Amino acid sequence: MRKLFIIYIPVLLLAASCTKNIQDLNNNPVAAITVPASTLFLAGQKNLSDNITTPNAGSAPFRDFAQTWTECTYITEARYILTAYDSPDNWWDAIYGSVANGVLNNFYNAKALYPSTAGSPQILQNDLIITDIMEVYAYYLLVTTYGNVPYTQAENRSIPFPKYDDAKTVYYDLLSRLDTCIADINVSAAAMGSSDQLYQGSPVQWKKFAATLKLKMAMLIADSDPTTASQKVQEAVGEGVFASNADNATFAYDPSSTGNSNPIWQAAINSGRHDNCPDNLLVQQMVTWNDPRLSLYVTKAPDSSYVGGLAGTGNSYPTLSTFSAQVLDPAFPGDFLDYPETEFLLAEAVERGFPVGGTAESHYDSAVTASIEFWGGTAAQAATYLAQPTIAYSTAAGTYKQKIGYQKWIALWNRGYDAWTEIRRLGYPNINVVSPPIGAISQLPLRFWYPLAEQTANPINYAAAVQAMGAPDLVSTPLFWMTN
Amino acid sequence: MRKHLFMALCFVMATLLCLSVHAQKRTITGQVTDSAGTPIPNVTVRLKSSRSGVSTQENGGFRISASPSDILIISNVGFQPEEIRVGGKANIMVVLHSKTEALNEVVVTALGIRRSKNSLPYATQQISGAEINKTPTTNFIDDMSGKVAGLQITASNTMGGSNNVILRGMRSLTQSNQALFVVDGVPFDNTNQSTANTGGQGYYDLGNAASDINPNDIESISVLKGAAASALYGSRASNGVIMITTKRGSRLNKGLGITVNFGVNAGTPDKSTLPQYQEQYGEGYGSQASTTPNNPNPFFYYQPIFNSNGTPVQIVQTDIDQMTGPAYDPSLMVYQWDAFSPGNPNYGKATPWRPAAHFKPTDYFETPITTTTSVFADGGNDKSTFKMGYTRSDDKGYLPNSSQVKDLLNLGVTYNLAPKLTAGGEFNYSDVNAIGRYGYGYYGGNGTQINPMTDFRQWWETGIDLPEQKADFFRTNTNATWNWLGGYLTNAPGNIVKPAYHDNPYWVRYKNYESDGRDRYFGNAYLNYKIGSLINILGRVSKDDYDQTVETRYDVGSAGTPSYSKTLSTYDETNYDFLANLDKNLSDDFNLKALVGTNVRQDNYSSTFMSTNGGLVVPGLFALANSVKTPLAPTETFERKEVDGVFAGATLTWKDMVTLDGTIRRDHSSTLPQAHSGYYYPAISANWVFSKLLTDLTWLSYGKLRVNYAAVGGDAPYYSLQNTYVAGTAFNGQTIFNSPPINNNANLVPEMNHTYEIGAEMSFLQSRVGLDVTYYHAQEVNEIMPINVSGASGFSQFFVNGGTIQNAGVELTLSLTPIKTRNFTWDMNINWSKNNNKVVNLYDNQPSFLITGYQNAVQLVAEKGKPYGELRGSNYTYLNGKILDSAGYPIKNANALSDIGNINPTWLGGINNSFHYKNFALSFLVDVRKGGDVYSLDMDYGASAGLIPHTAGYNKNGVATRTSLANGGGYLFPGVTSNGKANTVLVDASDINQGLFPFSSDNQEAAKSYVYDAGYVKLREAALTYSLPASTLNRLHFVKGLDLSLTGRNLWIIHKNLPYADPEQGVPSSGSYGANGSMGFQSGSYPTFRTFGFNIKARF
Repeated sequence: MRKLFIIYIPVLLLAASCTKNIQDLNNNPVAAITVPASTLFLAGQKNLSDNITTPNAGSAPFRDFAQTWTECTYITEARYILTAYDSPDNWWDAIYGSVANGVLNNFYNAKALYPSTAGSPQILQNDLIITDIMEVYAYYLLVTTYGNVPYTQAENRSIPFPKYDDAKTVYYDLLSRLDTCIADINVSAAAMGSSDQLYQGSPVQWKKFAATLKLKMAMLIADSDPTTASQKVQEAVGEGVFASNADNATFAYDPSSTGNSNPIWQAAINSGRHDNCPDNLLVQQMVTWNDPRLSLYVTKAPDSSYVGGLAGTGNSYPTLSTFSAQVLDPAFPGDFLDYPETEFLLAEAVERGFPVGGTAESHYDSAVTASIEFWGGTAAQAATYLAQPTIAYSTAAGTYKQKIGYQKWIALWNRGYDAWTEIRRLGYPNINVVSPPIGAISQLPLRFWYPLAEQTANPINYAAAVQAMGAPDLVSTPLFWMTN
Repeated sequence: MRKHLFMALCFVMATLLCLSVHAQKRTITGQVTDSAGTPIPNVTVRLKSSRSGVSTQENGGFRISASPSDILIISNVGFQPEEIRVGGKANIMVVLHSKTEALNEVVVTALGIRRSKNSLPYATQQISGAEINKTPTTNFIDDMSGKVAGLQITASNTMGGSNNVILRGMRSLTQSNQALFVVDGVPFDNTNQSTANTGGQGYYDLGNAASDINPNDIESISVLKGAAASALYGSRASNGVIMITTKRGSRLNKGLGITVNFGVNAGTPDKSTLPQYQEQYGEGYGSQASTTPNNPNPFFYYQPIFNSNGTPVQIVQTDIDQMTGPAYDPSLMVYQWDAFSPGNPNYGKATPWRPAAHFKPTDYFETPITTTTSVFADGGNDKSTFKMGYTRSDDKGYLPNSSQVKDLLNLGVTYNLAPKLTAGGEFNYSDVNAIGRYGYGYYGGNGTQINPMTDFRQWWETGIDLPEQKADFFRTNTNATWNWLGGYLTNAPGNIVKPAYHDNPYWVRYKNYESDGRDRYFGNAYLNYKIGSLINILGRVSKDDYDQTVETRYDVGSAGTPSYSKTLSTYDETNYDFLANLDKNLSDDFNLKALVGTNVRQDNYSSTFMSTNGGLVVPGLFALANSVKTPLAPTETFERKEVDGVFAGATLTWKDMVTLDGTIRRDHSSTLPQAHSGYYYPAISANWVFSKLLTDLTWLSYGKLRVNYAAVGGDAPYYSLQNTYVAGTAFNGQTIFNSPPINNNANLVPEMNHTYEIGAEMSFLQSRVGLDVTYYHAQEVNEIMPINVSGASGFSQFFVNGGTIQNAGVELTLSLTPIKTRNFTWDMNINWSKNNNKVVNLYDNQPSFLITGYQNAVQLVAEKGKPYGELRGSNYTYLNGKILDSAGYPIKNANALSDIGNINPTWLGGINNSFHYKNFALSFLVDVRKGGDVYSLDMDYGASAGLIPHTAGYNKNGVATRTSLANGGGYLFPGVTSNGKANTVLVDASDINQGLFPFSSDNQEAAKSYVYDAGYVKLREAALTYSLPASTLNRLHFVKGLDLSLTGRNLWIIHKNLPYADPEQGVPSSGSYGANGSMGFQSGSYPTFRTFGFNIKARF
């Protein structure tokens, strides 16, 4: 009998172990299951600012494409070689948010969590609208970078392999989302507070932001669909676009820690690397035009001249101009959307015959003046600059696209993505003609090809998207808004 | 079943019982021969009950006084000991079997159960401790390479570095494929300790935790390859088990029972695994300085320097780290890096433009020396046994300022508390401390170049004189780099200009070094109780517990932002085992063994990573408080897991000829959802010793067939059920959380691995020939894995049950004794294995799955219908199998991704020869890997940097290829033009700065050009041992044995196709590319070192 008892000990032990709920051990004690929605909104906003600000060619080689900045030694992206660092993969992953510091994933999750934390229904509504505007901004980047992109099935926990949606359809849906946001935002109620680093949750400012973004997005389709463009531009102006630099959507970086400092500082100073230099095409243009922003943008080279690097060649960093102290400051703000850009858009709208008021010249002058002031110049400097026959709207060379294109290119010096997009849209400066990079493997990319990871990780939908865009998947495939 | 479960533990007790039965003594005579009938002299014959014993004469004869109840133990070096009960016999003939006649071995199987290999229904292979310690290394795992069929070991060639241990191919697409280590029946953590890329500090190879095992305490290693063999360990064993049995104390030693071992090893790099450089062109990036006015040669900078009084001079492009600069010309005097290094004899001077005297890795490496000392003692008395071992090894690495010290201590005791109750325990302590571990992976500069091999292979220039760099560093104690970032005008003493990307290589080792320490306790305590004569009960608690500290440093003055980090981690695993087994002869013909048991396993892991932020204030002070900005909150990890298992098994044997074996285990794991947290895995197997029916076939010594089937379940990794948010650093006072990149899954179910295996073991001609053949087929279904998904989902990965991966293969072991005479024996052991891997299905019927991406847009992919681990990257367009060229350039495939290789070897093999002549033994092992591909980033970047020889040289006109086309230069790509004829058009390679440099996949070549066959044939090790003859030993009295050996490892890579590197070299598996991602990829690979050692072993 004793023998039998001992034999049963293991069975008893097991029975005991089964009654205990060991599943609780699988709850991570040092990670949060739920968090305040505002913390995710801020993460999305900061990560978005990082992505539109970073000079890192491995994720955002747009400054190099636009030849506002260029690469010094590792010059693959300047030559449009995108396989060395997989920038199309990295840009996609960063904006959709499949990486540690994502954009859209944080906005989507924030929206899902607002109902549990917002103080009132009005605040909840405003929070959702502000987040929606940020989402539209992020999708605008994706759809104008790649063309057809996942949209209706994106950001869904249960869809690992989302299908791609038609770029034009997505784009028009984004425009109508902005309409809804502008109509529904409650300017007399409060919204999220300081977690919004652009406007501290001010619905009034966010309404202006949405209207200005609508203006910008409408102008993008001015060639392909002037009727809609005109209508949306008029609406936006009526809804109230940016009226001064005070409206600018700038993102103040926090220098108290490395990771919260401006990405330019992180890449150019903290890393100890010297991968970028000002591009000589832009530097020489500004020298020629006596641009008062030149010294605000860049330093003089050791030989006291202003000289930048040449796109596609090796550039000896120590012998060239580098970036100004304000640009290299860890607290230097990011810039989502600004007043100078708004005035350039209005100048162009006038030229296209869209009834927005004012003259092309008045908007052009306001744009240039605002840009100079934004960078720290004075109104007097702006007036002197504009008084030059090469700059004055009435006497400057070329079509309105050329005049506006060149000035916008200078104004967007620190806005790589927008600078590239305006070159793709207006055609000025025509990089392929005025400064084709040495050793370039193609003409200026009109788009990014799809991430290489999509070919392997989402192969069926990738193949369908490439087919729809007009295979093969090339950087030279024009997007729907490019008519010439 | 499991008759021998506690045989060893009860061995002493049984002996004691025997002692009490005294009877009349009388004289017994006998003779000892080997299996060929040759008499063996000097064999020890002694009574099991006492210490008295005799040795055999030259004719093998002996004479001893014994009673009928006595048991004789007959033992000799190189033979399996025999025990014979005296009984009524007056004359006893004894046949000793050589240890190489492996088929009759006792093999340690799952849970430490010893079984006669006769009755085993599955494939195992056992290696003796002596075999492992033949060529001492500090990581015994490397010593298993080539000795076991189906075992693939990838070593990292770094001091104390890690290795991959893969049995029977890759089973898992995403999780670790590493075999489980078990010591004396208890799992032993083998986590790769290498640091992750936290805080941009780079990766250090800290090796695997199994290297904490004292190699001199290893009695034997059993490799359990199949699921049936290892099913009792549960899911962790699904990749196979490396079962280590440690030595045990014996109470019957003649003499003191002390073994002392001393060994010293030194190494020298195998030159065929080191890079070679072109020596025609030096540092620079082509005509970079063409914009400088009046520059006589735009391949040099032309500007004033600090002592040229405003006159421009020619300066090497010291801020460049590649060899695409000006052609060397010793008649040209130019300012090189040393002209700007204060204190250097050439400071401020121009020197001839030619390669430096000492720029090769061998000029940087030091001689690695390892000394190992160990003492092992055992003994016992009527009631107890004990053993004690201590090993210390001092390892001085081949990189400057690298060393590792290991102290390994182990104790084991047994004590008979009562006639049927034994208590025992083992205690192991290890203390491993290292300074200057080797960095690995890719780092292209800025002081993160903790892997000097990425410099030597990818970003280097031949103008670097390493002794001068060393002298400059020690003279000035500053970062006197070869890679100055310009600033030539201001470069005067006291006005140090910073490095561009690369720090002085000695600064890196002496200022920016890593250090770590690990204290580990591993042990168990057990009680064993025997009920009647049939049942054994064992209760055991075992604990594996370590604390580890890793510190990294990056001093003020380095190229990037200085920092200091500290990672504290603790791991502990506790196993509670309860086992009862029964061994009963049901009749004369039937024996039944049965087993029931439980196992409760609890794991805890926690780590805390802390780092400075924004730099260090005081140079050389490595403390968190020395941070420029407020340090960020530490990164904490805390992982807990429990698995509760219950298992049972039965073995029925008929006439020692047919064995049926069945086991079943149920696990309940904390990492699965409640509803699916329990899972069963059964195993059933049979074996038939058919030779028992064929006794008239004299040529057949032994024959056995075996067949088995097993299913092994598996649980999920920690925390893969629920999504959690990731805390960020507060931004302008506002809290930040980020969404998780991995989408966890609350609906996971256990994964299952189904394996069947059939095999045969035979030996012929009095066991002079032995053959073991196994065919296996394993299928992993419902595999739990994080799959890489479209980034548009908002996640990088989804956790799913998905994917079916299949491994089928053949393992073959052939042992031969071609020559056997009285004084001379030649034994051969041949291992061969071939594994066919196939991805049967992928989640959601997707055609492909991304395992990982490497640089230069090369991917490692699982493709449905193909073997796991397809390499994808850029390829060429081909015409009739030849690369199609256009205008001299190869035409690249329009799609950036094509299949360009597969990482799986075709087969693996090893041939071990050993020769015994009198007191000499000589053995050597040749190890072969056939097939499989590797993408070498080293070669691709080395080409892009103009470093490797094929980027220079002379063309068919006899003109240097980097001369411009106009001057007869140019490079000829192989391949054909569209008409099928060989390409004859040279392309311009003269100036990288003008895009005229065709080499590397960044330029005109495709990644396919840098995919190589990873096969090799190696002389892995050789050892020559001399054992002092018994006649000499007898005169020494207290010395019972003395062996002297000379050993060598990695002696010769007889054949390989990968230039300048060892195809076997891998990156630690926990590195930047995930669990399996580093296989088939080389970046910054370390050279292989030939090591030579001398070892002396004395027994007292």
